[in-house]
Amino acid sequence: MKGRKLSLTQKLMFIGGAIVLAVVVAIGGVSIWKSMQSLIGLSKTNSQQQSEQMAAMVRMVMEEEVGKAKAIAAMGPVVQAARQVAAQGASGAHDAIAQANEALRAIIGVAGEQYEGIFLSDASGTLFGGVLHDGNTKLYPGVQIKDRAYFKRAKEAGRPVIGQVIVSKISKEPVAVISVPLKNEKGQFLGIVGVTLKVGFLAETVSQTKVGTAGYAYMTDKEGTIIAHPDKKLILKLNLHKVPGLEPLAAAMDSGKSGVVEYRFRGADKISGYAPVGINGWMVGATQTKSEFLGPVRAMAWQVGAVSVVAVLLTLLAFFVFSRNMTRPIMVATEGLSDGADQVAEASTQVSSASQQLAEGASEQAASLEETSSALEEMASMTRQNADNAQQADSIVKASSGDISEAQRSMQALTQSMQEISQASTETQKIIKTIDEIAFQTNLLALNAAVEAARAGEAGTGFAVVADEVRNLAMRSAEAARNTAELIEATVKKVSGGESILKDANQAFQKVAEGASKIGELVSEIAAASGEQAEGISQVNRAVSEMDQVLQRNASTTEETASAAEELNAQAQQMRQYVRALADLVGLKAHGRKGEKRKAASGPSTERDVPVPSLKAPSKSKKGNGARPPAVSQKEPAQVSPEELIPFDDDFSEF
Amino acid sequence: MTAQNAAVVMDKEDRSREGKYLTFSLCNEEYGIGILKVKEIIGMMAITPVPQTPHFVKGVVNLRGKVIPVIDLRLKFGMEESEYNERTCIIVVETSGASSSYAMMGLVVDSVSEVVNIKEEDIEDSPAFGTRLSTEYILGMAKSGDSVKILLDIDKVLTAQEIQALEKTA
Repeated sequence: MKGRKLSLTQKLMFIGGAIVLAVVVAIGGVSIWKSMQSLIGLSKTNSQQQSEQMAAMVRMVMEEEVGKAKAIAAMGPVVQAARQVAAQGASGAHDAIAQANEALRAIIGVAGEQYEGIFLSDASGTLFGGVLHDGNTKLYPGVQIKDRAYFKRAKEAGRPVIGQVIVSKISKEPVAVISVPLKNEKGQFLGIVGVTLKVGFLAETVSQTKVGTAGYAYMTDKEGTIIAHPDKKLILKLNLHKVPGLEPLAAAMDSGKSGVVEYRFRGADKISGYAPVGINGWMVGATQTKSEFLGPVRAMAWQVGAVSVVAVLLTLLAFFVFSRNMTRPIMVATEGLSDGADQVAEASTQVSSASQQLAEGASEQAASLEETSSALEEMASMTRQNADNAQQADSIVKASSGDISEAQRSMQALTQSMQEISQASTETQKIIKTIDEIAFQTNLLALNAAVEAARAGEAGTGFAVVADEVRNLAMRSAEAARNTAELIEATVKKVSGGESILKDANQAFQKVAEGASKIGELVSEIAAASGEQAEGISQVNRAVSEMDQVLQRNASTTEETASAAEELNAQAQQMRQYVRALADLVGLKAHGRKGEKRKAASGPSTERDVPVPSLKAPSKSKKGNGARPPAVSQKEPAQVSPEELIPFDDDFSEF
Repeated sequence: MTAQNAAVVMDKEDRSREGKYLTFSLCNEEYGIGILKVKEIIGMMAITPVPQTPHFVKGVVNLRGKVIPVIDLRLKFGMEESEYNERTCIIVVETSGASSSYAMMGLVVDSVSEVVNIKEEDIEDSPAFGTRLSTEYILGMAKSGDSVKILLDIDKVLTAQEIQALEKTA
């Protein structure tokens, strides 16, 4: 978390400084290393060459010395003395020895300091003459040297030999004896001329040679003992084989070849070139301390270091300024993003709730649509039935219109026959009237007859009876006529009533016919309308089913919207965390500033004060059942997410 | 003779109102006239109106060459006038007016019914309605079943002046 708390500025400074440092260090290191390597290589080459040169010089010097010794051995007095000693013994050749000593003294006087002395020995190795560098001749005679290696080798080889460096018995200085065998004319070994050479000059010669800036040269014999070194105390005292840590050098010296070796001595890394002198296994070495010849490199390293520090400091400053400039807008953007994330979260919550309501509405709508659909089905079936019935009614009406017209025709016929009946009745009435009149007249006649009979008195009694009978008949016929007339009248009345009824009926029939035709039209219109209605209802049904589909789509879309809102909410949360991370990154004190701002901007926004969930929060909340950030759920507890509507397994885990 | 016969008849009538009567109807009421007073019954025929006669006198008719006056009994009796129909008859009666001779005249009635024989016991006197009302032209009331027939004395139906006037008319 501490690393996380680093602000962007700090990070940038850290990273920039690190990069610049790395680059500078890399470049400096590489250049230093390269220069070191090249210096080392150069030094190696230098050392080797110098050692080789010095070896050659030493060989040359020694060969020169050998030549000088040869010349001494060839000198007349020396040869004379040797011959006399060989012939007469030391005591017998006193003069010759003295002459020889004189000659040698002269040589030493010329040769200078580099000789310790020149001595002469007989064949048996006993000295018979010799001069020290100070002209003393007393020390040499009688000294036995037959065990000395140079004597043996000179005697055996019959040619000049350079002996090993030894500590002089006289001067206690390291010396090397060049022994040249003395021979007579016959080549018989007479003894040797020994030139004791002070090695010190060699050492001076060698050690005067500067290798590089701080290097020096040295020389060893084949045993590894130092025979020449700037430090004179080490000569003949130090054996390379015996000093721990100098094994590689000692091994190199033993090899007898020229080359370069690296080693470590007395806490200092050194390199040493070496080359064989070619005499007695002597080796010349030129050593250099690395630290010395790497001095410029060190200086360069210091410079590089200084440059690095300066560059890093400059970089840090530049990054500080740059990141300050850069983080300011990021801070602003972060605040804006934070606000935006909050608003997005809020909006997504609202969208979620709205889509929730939409989904509920859609389900209700779907239910009502289903009801509507079923109602429409019923309506459609009823309408179809209606249409069928209307068609049936139409056909019936059409059939009945035929019947009605037939009925009308029969009615007309009936009317006609009624009229005929009426006419006949009228005629009958006339006849009846006539009959009635006749009966009336007859009655009158009978009455008159009765009157006459009554007038006739007794004589008219029979006649009166007849008249009465006649009258009775007349009355009866009148009665009958009246009855008939009444009947006829009733008939006529009935006929006329029937006629009027018939007329009414006819009119009614006419109306019925008109009505039937109207009904037919109406029914056919109803049938057509029912068909259209059925069509319309089916269209409505189709529309309803389409509506249903649309509704389904709506519902699914709403669900998607809800999930999208959910997603959006999660994204907002994530964004909030990113913003927070960004705020942390740019070192924005998000909470404090935010809180102040909120308070300044608006009072009751409680969600702002809810701590922004940490980076682990989203994973937690995703695992949880709500999948809803605490801020939102706190603010609007009524909000129900689709997941909450559908029971999750998590809910059962509580049981 | 005629006067004698008439007197006889009158006597008879005085004695007994029993006899044959010609019944007719007027305003749905049955009336009777003594049969001997009836000369003839004729159907309605064309009546020639005569001016200057009382309103109940309809006019005169030519009965087989004889002009006789015709009066409407309805009008005479103060009943409302009705139109004549085929049932309307004219009863030709012989009146024995004050002027002596039997005068014939036609009485328009609604219809002629029959000739019936009415016994004495079925005849009652006309009731006295009061002194002012003259009922002398009513011979009696003949009970026939539940109904009552008014028997008219035709001679007294028309006053003498009337008869005279009628005679003049004729």
